[in-house]
Amino acid sequence: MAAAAAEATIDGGGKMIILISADGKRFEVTEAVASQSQLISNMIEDDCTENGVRLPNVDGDILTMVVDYCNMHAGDAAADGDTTKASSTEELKKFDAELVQALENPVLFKLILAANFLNIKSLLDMTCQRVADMMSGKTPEQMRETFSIENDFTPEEEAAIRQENAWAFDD
Amino acid sequence: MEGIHRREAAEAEPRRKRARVDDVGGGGAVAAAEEGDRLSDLPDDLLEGILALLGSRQAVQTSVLSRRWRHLWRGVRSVDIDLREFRARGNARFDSDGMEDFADAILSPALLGSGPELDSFRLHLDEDGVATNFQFQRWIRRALRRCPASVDIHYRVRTSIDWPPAVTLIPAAATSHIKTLRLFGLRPTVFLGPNEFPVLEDLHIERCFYGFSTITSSTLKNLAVISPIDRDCVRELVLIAPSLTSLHLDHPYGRAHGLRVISARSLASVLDASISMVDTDPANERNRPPNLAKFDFLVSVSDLLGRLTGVRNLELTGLTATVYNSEKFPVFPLLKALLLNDCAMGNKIILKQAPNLEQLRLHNMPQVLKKTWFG
Repeated sequence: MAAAAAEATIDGGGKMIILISADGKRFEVTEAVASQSQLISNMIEDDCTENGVRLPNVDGDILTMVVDYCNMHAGDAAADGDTTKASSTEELKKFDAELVQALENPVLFKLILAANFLNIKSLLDMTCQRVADMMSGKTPEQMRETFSIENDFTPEEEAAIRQENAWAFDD
Repeated sequence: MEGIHRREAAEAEPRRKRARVDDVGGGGAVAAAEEGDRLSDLPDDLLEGILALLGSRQAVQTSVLSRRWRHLWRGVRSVDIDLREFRARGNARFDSDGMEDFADAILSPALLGSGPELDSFRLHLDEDGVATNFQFQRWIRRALRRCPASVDIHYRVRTSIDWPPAVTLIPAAATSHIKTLRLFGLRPTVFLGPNEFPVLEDLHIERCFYGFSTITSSTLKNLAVISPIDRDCVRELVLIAPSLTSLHLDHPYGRAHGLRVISARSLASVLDASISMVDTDPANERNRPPNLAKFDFLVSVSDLLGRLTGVRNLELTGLTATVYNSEKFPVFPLLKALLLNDCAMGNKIILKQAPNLEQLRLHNMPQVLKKTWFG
């Protein structure tokens, strides 16, 4: 199951660590790859990754995505200004765009929570931007539909809020 | 009516599973909740972060989505007022009153008192969106009270106006948080000095008339000055920025105009530079020997290039050999990648002066010169 993780481990990233998802799936990654998570980076620093890092908040399928993302971006942080960077930057952009476009709503939100919990800023920014793009230009009614948001206001209450913030609405 | 709404809300409640915030797709507990609204289950700070990516108008409109969203927009650390949001909806006529009401409301002193400090303040307007300069200043002044870290003020120039609107960023206490400053189409009456902007890192000034003649900052990392509007009074910009790593200048010039950038000190910290100097005189003028103003401009470019002794990536547009011969052309000991765009450099001097060059790209080279490069 962790094939993607295992493939990309031999890149001089040094020590390996094991990430364990909520449902017990194990992912072996280099410290360099895992360190993109600020949470794990701190744990590495504190020397408490010996017995594997349990991530009770993250499902295996989500962690697979996170590990793929981190493997893909591992060279990113380390590289400094070499000339091969330009092409790989293009590849990364494509990878990111495809990843984020393919995400369906519930998975997208799980990935946001995982990125937030693991503190991977670039992944969090990217996934949040995706949600913002999905909201952008939509009326509140359209937003409710897109995200299945249940309107729990009475019509009177909703009217009152529209009135209170009338300056932000068309009418 | 009300009864139905209430009942629906009550039914919805058991499905909502508030606890999911701590239970990121963990195990079977979630299986039942795959359907439905998971966006609202994200914690406040993440939703506020997402709303910060929208324009402020849309962010406020989310207040009617549901109770969960009622007040979220108030915690958003960004104010983004964009005229285009008031133009959309298939309506050609611009709702200028609506836009003014909105800006006044979202930047009202009552809200400012309770609102968080801002990560970013963005104001994009044009002539339609600024009834008076006075109003413009008021919005900026009020936003600054929330100590934004990033300020982006964009005035879309629709006609070729001579005298763009002034923008003043005061007091110093408010500007002292600004790390990123982007100004477009304005006349900033701001002194860009270390006391006024002690943490400034990114500065982008485009199509602005900048009335002061210096930029001094020890924290500045990225600087872009694009298509400056220069009047007779300002022909020189003195740059002192010892931490600068990226420099982007795009300065058209001619016999009667051209903003010279003068650096009295080394710019060895600059790693990436893109310098464009396009001669805008008509062809017959271009072929004449330069007048004094033009000559001064070209010399200033040459001097500036000479100070970029640490540059790794360099892009030059419009460079002419007029002021260069092989002795004068600066040495770039660390240069790795060079792009010459529309440069009338007729010999291989640059190659000699850049011993570590790995990549050379030539764009739009005059036909006659191709021979000397490749022949």
